[in-house]
Amino acid sequence: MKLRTPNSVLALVAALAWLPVFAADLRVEVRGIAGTDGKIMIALFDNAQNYPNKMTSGLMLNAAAPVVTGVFTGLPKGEYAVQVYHDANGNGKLDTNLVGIPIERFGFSRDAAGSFGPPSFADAKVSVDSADQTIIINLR
Amino acid sequence: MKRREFLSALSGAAAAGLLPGLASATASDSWQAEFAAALAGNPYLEGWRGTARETLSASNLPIEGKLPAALRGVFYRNGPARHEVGELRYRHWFDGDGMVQSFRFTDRGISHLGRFVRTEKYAAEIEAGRALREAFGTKVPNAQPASSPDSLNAANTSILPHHGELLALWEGGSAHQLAPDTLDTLGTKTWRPDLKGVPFSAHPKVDPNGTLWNFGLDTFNSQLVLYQISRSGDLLKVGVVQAPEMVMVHDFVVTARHMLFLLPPMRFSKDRIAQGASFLDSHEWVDGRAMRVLAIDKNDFTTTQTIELPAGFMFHFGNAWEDASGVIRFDYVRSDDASVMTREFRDLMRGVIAKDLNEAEATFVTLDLNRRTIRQESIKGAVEFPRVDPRVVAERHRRLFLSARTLEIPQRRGWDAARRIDLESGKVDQFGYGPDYLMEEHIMVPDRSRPQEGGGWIIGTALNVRERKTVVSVFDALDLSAGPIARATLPYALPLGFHGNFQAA
Repeated sequence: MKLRTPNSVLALVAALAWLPVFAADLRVEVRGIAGTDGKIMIALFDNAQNYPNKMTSGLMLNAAAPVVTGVFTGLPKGEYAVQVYHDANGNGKLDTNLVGIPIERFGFSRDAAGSFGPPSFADAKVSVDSADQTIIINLR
Repeated sequence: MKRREFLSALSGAAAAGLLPGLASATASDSWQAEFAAALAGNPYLEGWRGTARETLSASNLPIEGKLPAALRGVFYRNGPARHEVGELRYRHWFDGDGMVQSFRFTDRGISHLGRFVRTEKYAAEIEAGRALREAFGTKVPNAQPASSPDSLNAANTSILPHHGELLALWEGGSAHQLAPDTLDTLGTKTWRPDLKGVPFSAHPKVDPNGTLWNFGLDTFNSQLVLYQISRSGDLLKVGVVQAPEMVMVHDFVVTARHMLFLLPPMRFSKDRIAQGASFLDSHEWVDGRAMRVLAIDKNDFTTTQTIELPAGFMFHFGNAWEDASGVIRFDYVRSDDASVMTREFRDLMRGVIAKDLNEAEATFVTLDLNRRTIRQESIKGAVEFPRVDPRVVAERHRRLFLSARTLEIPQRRGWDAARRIDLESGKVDQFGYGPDYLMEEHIMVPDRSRPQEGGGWIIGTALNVRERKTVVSVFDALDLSAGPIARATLPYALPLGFHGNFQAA
């Protein structure tokens, strides 16, 4: 058996050292997509203060199928809330009616729901640790 | 690329959200038992028993008298009919899911079909076997959070045929479209994509050209959404008018140039609803404040004027018209305060007949917007459900139809007489149903061969509490005291409801 050269081992260790010690992927499986127009917009929040207006990170996926999945990679350990909406007309925002109620479909992590507004961060949050996980969000 | 704030619009949506329901009646709910016990001793309460039957139908109803040959079409009515859901009996008459009644007048006689409107709420609660959604006047235990007013839509207040469609109306949310013959629920009515779920009141006004005018009250943002819809159902114009503390606006009137609203001296407390009070209980009367008349220009939906009337409360208008010099006259049914809504219609649900309430009276207003003068006077006598000949909506009317209370019986309130007032002479023409009946709204249906105002019929239902059967009666609108020309009797009692309209064949 050929031994790995010390140089390549060092190179591998060096590469691995750039990754956070505890970091995991959060896969978001979005269900209940109607039609194939526009984009699925996924927003990630890592603290209650910035929620729900200022996201930490975002993904934009084609609404190509009834279920699409996006991945936030290498997240540090912590608590996160995820919001999703289907931007069917591609105008980059969650459309609302004349009295401020959303008319495009949306959802939150843990399928949390608020009354005439978003759920609280506490109701929507999921914990990210060292293991990768998948959460499911159903659009309503 | 700058990160966008995808969901910032959500924070603009109505105010402080409801907290998960604070502790209210949970396992044992005594109102069902209290009402049942009271009903055993008071047959008048039959009108508020409610029903769980999804469909009621009877064909070829027995008719006393003769159905006029020219009266052909369908008389539709709507009202809350499901007062008990699982263990819960609603605390307010306005809460129950809507059941639409249709009375079909044909060459073969009169038939009846009644069905519940299959709203999202109704379907979900039937499946779950319990109440899931908040209601107007009841704090529902363990209610689900509502994402939009249509999550709570009871579709229970009125029903309007227009442009070939049939619309079940509930002022807090969308109209629901029903199939005119089978009363199948086809879904909510969206007039334009950005109006999906926007409130559409239960009292649209259709002028003699067929144009439909309506409004929607957005309590949380204190604004009125205004609608103009063509006779063929196309949305012509939408406007939004903001005014401070605009609450409990149930009805309005139109003239040739204006839409008129009366705003009672009440306010809505976002704190109270956030603390878990029902929508109704989050409203409070403001002593010392006037009632405001809001006049909006129909042509641009923006120019507004406000003028004050003495404090009062109202549900319904009769009609309004504007003369050549711009003087507006209108009538409405006015009471000194909102106790009918906050007390009478709540007490009924546990079988209690409220006492010492302020009566609602027919009230006539003359308003000069140019001179900014206003005066009003009321006629003594407890009345409700004002209606006019549909051919004079927004024009000068000379005849006002009302339901009146003439009997003072401790075990009942409600109405017992169909009345017509001739506004020029003051003459009153009336038919009294007598103590066995609880009378519902009666509407005026024109006879095309009689073009004068009032040429046609008055049609309405009444519950015979002794027989526990509902009757539908037809009167000559200009001779009520002669009694019904025709009356058909159903084999069952219908829950007492609210408003209806007629679709001529």
